[in-house]
Amino acid sequence: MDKKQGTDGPKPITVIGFEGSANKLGVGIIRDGEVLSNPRHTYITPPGQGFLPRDTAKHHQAHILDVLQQALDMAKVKPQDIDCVAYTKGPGMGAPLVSTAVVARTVAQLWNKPLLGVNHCIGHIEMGRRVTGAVNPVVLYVSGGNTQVIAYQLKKYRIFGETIDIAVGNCLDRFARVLKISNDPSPGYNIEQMAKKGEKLIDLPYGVKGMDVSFSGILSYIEDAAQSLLDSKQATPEDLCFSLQETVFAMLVEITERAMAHCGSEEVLIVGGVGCNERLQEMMGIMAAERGAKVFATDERYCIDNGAMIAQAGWEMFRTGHVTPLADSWCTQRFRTDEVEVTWRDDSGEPI
Amino acid sequence: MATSSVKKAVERNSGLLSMELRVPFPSQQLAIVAYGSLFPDPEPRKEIVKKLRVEDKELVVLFTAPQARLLRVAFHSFLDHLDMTIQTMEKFGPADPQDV
Repeated sequence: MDKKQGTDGPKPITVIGFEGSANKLGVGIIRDGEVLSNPRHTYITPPGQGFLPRDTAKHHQAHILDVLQQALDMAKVKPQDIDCVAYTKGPGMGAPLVSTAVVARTVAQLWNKPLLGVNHCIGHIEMGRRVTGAVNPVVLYVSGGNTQVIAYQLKKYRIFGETIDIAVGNCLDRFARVLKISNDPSPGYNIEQMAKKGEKLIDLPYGVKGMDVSFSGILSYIEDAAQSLLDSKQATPEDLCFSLQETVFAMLVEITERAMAHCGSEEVLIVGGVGCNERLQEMMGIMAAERGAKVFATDERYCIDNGAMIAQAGWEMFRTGHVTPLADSWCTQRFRTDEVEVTWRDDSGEPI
Repeated sequence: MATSSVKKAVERNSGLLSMELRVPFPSQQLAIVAYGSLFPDPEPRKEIVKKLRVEDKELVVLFTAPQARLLRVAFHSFLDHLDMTIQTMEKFGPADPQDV
């Protein structure tokens, strides 16, 4: 199931990856595409509250060394067995990113291993490709922090469409706060379960703008309308969850289809925390089947932020010559997916 | 703001507030590791300047800022990262700190 990527002969490459760009803290170890360990600890806030950078950074600082130890123990790997230390350089929240990077830089120096700053989005893409075996898909990357439609072309992961304001996951998370839906295990998961019991489709503003999407409008509409719809018994909380999902997911399916038509693609890969949502996968599947295409998705181990995905992207980067000198290892809240030179795929998208 | 004339006086005298922190390490190598972990990220606010250097076995950090509250914020978050660096060394560093 885990295919080796042309590594008969050379010594196996083991990479440890550190992820902490939002409220999930993960450390994962990968050896030639095999996940040896992937522990994670999530900062969960009370219902009605989101997570703020300072508190999230404190959470990561409190747990990172334990999660790192777990990663080594579960993988049965010693520091000397590791070839490269990868970490999330960005994009994401500043203080949590730096808290994680400081530990990665420290162990890289203590263990005398090369350091590699990874783009978080590319971590999702590379883990998705690895786990699902999708060859050259159009990628829908959807999470609390990001919403992009991406396709590989000539050494770059190019952004074909994206949100012009907030991420779809951010829209869902903030709506959950309005209804005081629990954030455990995640607000999106709980919205999904409630939506399954929804029956009535409320008309909500639809925000597709060409290749791009906009969620601010639908969020402010539903934030304003929710209480009066509930009070007047025109809708239940389940109906609101159902209606919001149906609308935002239809928007995502539309811009994904547009990109597929552009690229002539027969594969769709859904990555990011919102990619766990089975209704989204189902709706995408219906569109794909109509085009004779196939949908690929991962389970919550890999669609939700995790360390192994950073290690996997790090593995690809490291084996094709990337290294990050300390002076260039600063973290950044903004880091476009198309800024990275994809040295590990050739011009036709095949692995190098 | 009532203190605007004081502020102007401070600025005219280039009276930036400054603070120096010295952190001793068991070896120069470990001080250099701490430097390596803590120098790369720039201060998010441009008015705050952070300069790190290693002197023998000590990590020396100099902060300058035009206002005390900015100094406090920068210093506070630096101490958190310094603490992480030291805890990481204690847990994952060599058994003999001279051995790095």
